Amino acid sequence: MAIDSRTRSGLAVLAALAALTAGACVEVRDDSGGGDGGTVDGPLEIAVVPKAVGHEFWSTVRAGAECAAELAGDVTVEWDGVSAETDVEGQVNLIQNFVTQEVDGIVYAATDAAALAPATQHALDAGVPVAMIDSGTDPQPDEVPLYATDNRAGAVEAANLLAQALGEGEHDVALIEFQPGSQTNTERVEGFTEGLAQHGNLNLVGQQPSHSDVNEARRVTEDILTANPDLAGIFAANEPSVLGAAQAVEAAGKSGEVVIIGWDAAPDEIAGLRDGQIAALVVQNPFRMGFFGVQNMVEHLREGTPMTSADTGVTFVTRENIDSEEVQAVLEPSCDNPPVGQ
Amino acid sequence: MPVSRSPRPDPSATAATAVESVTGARDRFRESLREHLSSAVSEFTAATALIVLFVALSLASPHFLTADNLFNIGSQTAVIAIIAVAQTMIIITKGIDLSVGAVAALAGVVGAIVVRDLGFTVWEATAVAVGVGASAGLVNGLLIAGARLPPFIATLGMMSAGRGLVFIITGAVGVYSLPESFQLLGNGEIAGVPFAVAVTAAVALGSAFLLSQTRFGQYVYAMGSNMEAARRSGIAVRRHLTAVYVLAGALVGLGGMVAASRVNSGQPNYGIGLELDVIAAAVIGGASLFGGQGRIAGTLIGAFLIAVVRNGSVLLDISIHYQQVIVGLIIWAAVYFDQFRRRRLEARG
Amino acid sequence: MSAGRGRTSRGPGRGDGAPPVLEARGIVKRFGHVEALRGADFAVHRGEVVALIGDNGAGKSTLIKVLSGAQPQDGGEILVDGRPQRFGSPLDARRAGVETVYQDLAVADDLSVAANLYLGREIRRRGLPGRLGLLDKRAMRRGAAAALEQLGVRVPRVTTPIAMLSGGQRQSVAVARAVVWATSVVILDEPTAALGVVQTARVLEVIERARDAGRSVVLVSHNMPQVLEVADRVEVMRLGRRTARFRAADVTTDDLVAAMTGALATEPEDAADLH
Ligand SMILES: Nc1ncnc2c1ncn2[C@@H]1O[C@H](COP(=O)(O)OP(=O)(O)OP(=O)(O)O)[C@@H](O)[C@H]1O
Ligand SMILES: [Mg+2]
Repeated sequence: MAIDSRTRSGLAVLAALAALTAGACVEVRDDSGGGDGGTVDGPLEIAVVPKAVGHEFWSTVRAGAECAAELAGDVTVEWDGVSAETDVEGQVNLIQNFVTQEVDGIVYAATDAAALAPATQHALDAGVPVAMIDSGTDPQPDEVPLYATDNRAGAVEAANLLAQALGEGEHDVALIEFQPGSQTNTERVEGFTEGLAQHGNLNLVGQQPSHSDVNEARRVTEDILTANPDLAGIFAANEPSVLGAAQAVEAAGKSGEVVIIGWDAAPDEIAGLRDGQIAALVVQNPFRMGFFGVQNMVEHLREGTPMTSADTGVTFVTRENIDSEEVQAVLEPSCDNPPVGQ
Repeated sequence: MPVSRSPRPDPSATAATAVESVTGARDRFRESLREHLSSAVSEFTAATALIVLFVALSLASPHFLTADNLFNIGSQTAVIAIIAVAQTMIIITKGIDLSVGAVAALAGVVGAIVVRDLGFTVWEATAVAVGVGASAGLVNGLLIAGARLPPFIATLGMMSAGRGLVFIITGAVGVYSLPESFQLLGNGEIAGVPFAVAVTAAVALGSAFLLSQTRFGQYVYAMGSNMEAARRSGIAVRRHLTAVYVLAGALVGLGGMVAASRVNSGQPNYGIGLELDVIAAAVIGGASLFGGQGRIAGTLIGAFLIAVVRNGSVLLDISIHYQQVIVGLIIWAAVYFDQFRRRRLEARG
Repeated sequence: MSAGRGRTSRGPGRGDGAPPVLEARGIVKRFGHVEALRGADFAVHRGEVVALIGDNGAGKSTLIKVLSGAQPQDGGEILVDGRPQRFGSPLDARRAGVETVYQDLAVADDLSVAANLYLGREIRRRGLPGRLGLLDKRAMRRGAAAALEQLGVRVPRVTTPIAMLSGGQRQSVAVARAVVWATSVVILDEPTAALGVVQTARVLEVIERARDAGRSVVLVSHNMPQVLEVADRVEVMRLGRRTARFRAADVTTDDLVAAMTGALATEPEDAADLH
């Protein structure tokens, strides 16, 4: 019958879609550890969960995590994440699923400090140790360490860099934040305003979020430039914000005229730095976050060493120092020469 | 018309018509005026709001009514307008497309990748992006018209599957290192007009023409108004409904490419929440989620209204949170006035 | 209102042994467990008005949807001019010259009167624009206005959306659409249900005129005086089958009521032993 064949073709399409989705899971869950270890405690399976997949930053975290796993031997990294940082509930579910799967440990970055606190507790109650990277929870249990950038200190320093680049005299500056309400965003915004307070000659005339979308960052920056033709400097607080801000400044024909201090180090940000569109970048060490998270987790699991929090540090990258060995190790991290020494 | 085969005039009918034409001339005139107004009232309400907003912002900020700012608003509205046009066609058929954000991102990253890795020109890449969008639309259309899934469900699936594909294809990182020429579509100009605005205008005019002047357009409204009536009138509803989704998908692909071109990169996270913006634009412009109603002109005004609210808020440095509240109020007001108008028309003698 | 029955000719082919212009034989139609038609028969000859009557739920509307291709049957066959034909879609019925006014109307509320009259057979512009699908809206407005005037249907304007018409006006438009396009058979499922006295009289006139023009009419109605006034023959349905047939001239309202309730049957026993 006609109806039957129609239903059947519909089912076939559904099946194809399901297959694609299944394919997605296989690709994202990359088993990178080997099976050749010989350690006393046997193979370990550690879940590493970013805030969201989709940005350079988290790919570098993953590289660090997998590097630590490889060096430790016989450790498998289960990498999985939600697709938008705003999907807090999705991340809660993901963490719970990993607990259900009985992974040996969970290393993750909380999309929301308060909302993920119960998820961490749930894991600990189930006997799965947790280490936080990049963003912790509130409250955060004593036995859970945080390997993260001190965002506040980095942002204070960004304000100092901006003041330094602009020099004497009154200057209008703007702030492109990314996700109002998120912990990291709040810390950077507070750090930057705290830093600005030290420089009475800088006036904050505009503050708008990009929602981590380049298009939106570009749009709000264009509008801020329109409203403030004398704008002298911009601090853009994450990768999409920086890219959008730089494009807006360029479109307005003000490249180099408006000083941009950015955060993170995506390839196009580095290119902008070399071109002079961006004055300086505050670069975190996501590789070290992933590395420390997994390394300390493995030591904890195999030797019972308690895990303790550590600042993973920031590097201020400018056109002058970008080609130095030290900066290159941070920018192009590889497992052959991991930027983790300290 | 076959009726001419029985050309015998009917005296009673003719007499009645004559009587009516004397006594009812004024009523009829009023009636006709009301009809013309009624079809334009949604646009009229939204356009009035837009004008009021323009005046208010011109007074509030010296930078609002400047060539540069208008140029910016135009470019900023382009993508949402193109995709809102697509959404409008679907809404007229009593459907909804939740997958526009994901499909736009998919088209954008594929367009960026073929330029970066295969050396396609920006025009070839645009064709590819449009093809990607149309394919996604075809899947939506087959699921809805063929497998009879509700549009909400079919496109919800596409929203998820499409976003997943984006991450698979890109490995979840942005597609960068594109040649300067990639920006042509989103950042170029012709004769002082942003290229993106010209593309939007062409899309809007073409779609408005299609909907109002062609048989296909007539069927779009007929299907949304009463699918069973359309079917019993001999319209091939499955084919036409699928075609609407394919066409809309193609436009979404184009919009995704313009967005990617504008930021010179393929962004895997692009367009999350975009579906809500474009549905809002269509609804503010008078499209009815119950189908059968909606016009491109109204949708464009809706898209501009949202864009101008956002632009004005940044010019005045109003927090994002208030912007969201304002857009919400506009949606309520627009739909309320629209229903108020309809109730009044229905209540008429 | 004129008494049509005495006035008009019976049209060609009537009573001379020619096959019915439209005939249903042993139609079966199920909706899940409900058997709406259980071997229903029906026939209409060229140039005659046949009333199809029966109690609520007897299966009249279902039979009509089968005869118009809107709901293909599960069993039995349809014959056009004596030749079996498959009505797989409304288009098939339309090609055979059969037009229908459905009980649930099937008009597109948001479209104008003119657009509804031409729905599915729009007039396109001449030449290339037409082949690209461009509509000749002016021609359709004019054609619609002329057709409605000829049928005595009054609407404010042909550009008025159907949603703004009264129930009776909508029904009149639906009747006009069927009558205007039918080349062979017009089927009307309770076309006067929502109409006032004057409008009802008009519809009956329209039916007579269609018959005079050589078309056949199938009329479903619960109004017995009306049926006897306008019909040449009456077929009675009960529980999904035809149970009786009469010439309208030879029958009274009481006979019809008896047939509908099952007290009277003219059809062979296999139909009568149903209950
Ligand atoms: N789409 C449907 N799904 C399920 N049952 C149906 C459907 N259409 C009709 N029926 C059933 O078929 C039977 C006949 O219905 P039909 O509409 O043909 O009756 P009718 O003779 O036209 O009645 P009325 O005089 O009330 O219009 C009823 O029992 C009805 O419930
Ligand atoms: Mg009925």
